[in-house]
Amino acid sequence: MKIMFVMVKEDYIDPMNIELLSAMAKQAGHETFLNVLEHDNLMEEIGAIRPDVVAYSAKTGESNVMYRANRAIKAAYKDRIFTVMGGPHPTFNSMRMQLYGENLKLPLTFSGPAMPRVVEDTQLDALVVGEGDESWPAMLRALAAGGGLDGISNVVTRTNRRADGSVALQERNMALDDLPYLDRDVVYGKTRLKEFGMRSLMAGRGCPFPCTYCFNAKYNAMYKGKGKMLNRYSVDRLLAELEDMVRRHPTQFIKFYDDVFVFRTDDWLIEFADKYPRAIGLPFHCLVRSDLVRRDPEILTYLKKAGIKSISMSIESGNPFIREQIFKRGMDAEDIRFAFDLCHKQDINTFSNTILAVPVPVIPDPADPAFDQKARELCSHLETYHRMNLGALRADVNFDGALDHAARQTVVNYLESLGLRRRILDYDIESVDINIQNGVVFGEFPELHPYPGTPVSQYTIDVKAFDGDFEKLHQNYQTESPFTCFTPQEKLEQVNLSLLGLVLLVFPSWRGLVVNHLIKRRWTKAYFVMYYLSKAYLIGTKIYPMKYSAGHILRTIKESFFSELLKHSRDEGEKFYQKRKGLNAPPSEVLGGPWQS
Amino acid sequence: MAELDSEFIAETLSSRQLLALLFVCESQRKKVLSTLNFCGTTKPSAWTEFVDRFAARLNKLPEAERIYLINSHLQSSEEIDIYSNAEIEALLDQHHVLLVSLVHELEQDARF
Repeated sequence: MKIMFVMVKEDYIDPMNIELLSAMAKQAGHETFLNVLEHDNLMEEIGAIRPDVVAYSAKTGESNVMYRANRAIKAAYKDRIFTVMGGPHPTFNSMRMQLYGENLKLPLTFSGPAMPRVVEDTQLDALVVGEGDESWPAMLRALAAGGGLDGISNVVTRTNRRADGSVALQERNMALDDLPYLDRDVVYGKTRLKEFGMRSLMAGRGCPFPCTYCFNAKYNAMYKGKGKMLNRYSVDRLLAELEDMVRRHPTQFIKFYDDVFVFRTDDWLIEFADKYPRAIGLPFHCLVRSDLVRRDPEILTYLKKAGIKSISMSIESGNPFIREQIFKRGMDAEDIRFAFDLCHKQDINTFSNTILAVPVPVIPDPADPAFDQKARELCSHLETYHRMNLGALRADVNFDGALDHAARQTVVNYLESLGLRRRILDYDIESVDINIQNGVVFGEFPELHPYPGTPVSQYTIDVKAFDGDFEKLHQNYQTESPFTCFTPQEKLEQVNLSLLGLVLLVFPSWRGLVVNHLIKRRWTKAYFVMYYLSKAYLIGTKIYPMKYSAGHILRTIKESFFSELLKHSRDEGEKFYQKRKGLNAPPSEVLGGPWQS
Repeated sequence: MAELDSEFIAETLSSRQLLALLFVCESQRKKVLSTLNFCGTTKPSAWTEFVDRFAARLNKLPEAERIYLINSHLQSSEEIDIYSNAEIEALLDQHHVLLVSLVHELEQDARF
């Protein structure tokens, strides 16, 4: 069979999902192709190749673009092309995604103010839930034989869909060594990744931590009792694939993209630190958690021995209330301080993600006539929703009567000790500050976007900051906040701080100027340029340092600038993109990208 | 958060029991478990440091979230499959006396 994978746009990270499925398909004797909607003409390529299967891997935010592409394919080819979508979006939305020829009704278990709506007319033939590679070989065998997919685990079709929305999942794959090497050729033949010196790979799968903005908590609940949560390649198997990759593709730097690369100093890490320098010897980057580093500092010793150049340790919030009560990070400020300090002592450049624009309560103004009522409601919210024990405060303050000045001040002080702040922007400034204080070398400051399957999304719905319509979200989380609880001015300051936060890591002495003045101005375009220059400098020299020709550098700067522009400015990016590509035609004629929804 | 049911032994344990189990697993991995003496009035420094470290992370969390976080460490750093009843049962049997003693210690600690 001929299988065409469709992705929306290029990035600087290998699409390992497509590369693995392509490798498995080729292993089974099929031909594979890739279409990148950003720059390829989908219908022209479909007409020329005539694939039997079109496969999408969708994240929330890009799914709408893929639905549009799929509708065009189905309108032209109907049953002659089988179309299937996997990835995080269908994994957490399969029960409300209407398939080709289907009359879908939502399970009765859905109710309440955030009741999801059916996604009509996806026109897909099947969805894949969970780890797609586990059902992929069986799917291809069935399709090649002209059979149905109804009996295959992880697969949802219009004829095997269960009324309650549940999906039969296979056991987790615990034999990763048996997987084929990623098929990078299918991607490099169509993208700039071929020329890019950094290659991405994952050493394993799974993350057990309950961070609420991440899909892993719900994912792990889905897979409960279906095998070990953490699985990884043997060191020899991992290095063999890396050796093959380096031999076949020019490589200067390796990014291990596991959610957490190592959890402790164990035989695997010791063996990796011993063999990697001799077998590969290239600088690399990986992700770990600060609390794990503090618990087991030798992790860094071995990573350094292996040749690590830079490391990601997400802070996510500098504010303890957000970090503990909303994000459930399970680490404290001392974990963060210890781990970043140790990295810098070992000359490992640090990269951190910190999420801004989180819907979070603020402490009422003591001078506000409605202070008493607001304080009562806030305390009640903390006790009932966050299950916090406010017994000490209630022992000091009698909320039944009117609060005098001293009582109000006691309430304010107590709430501040829990991490609550008086202004919404104070939380974000605190988050930027913790990055500055810990000497983070490079940091991203995206704004919170609610994605299906994440507990924090339910939180934003519960506090009435979000209506639960995930389909309207932009695919990037560096655009204006989607939450209704923020004023336009707050949203402006959040966007500005998300850009200037990185600039402050380069020029920390500008902190006062930025937080007191610049974030309030409508100079976002200028801030974007400052952000881009800071990012290009830090990424290129500290985080993923690589050597290129002058021509390549100029080309990369041009491409990455436009890529960043699109991320940060939906409207401007769309206009620019369409002008650049001549894609002003209606979407039905040109499936040219994610910005024409 | 994951929904709890009684199908798995690990899900019937309290946060104190799981924290004690985590300490035992960590000490065993570091090959120091047999050197720890819990008989005297002074507790081993490894235990007090461990408890202090987790107190800061856990003391503001409700029970269900404490359990989730400790389970995360058991599954990752200690590579325990908490949904393998045989594995959990074997650990609980092997270290029964010590675990009872550690849980008692935690019960006396206001932070837990």
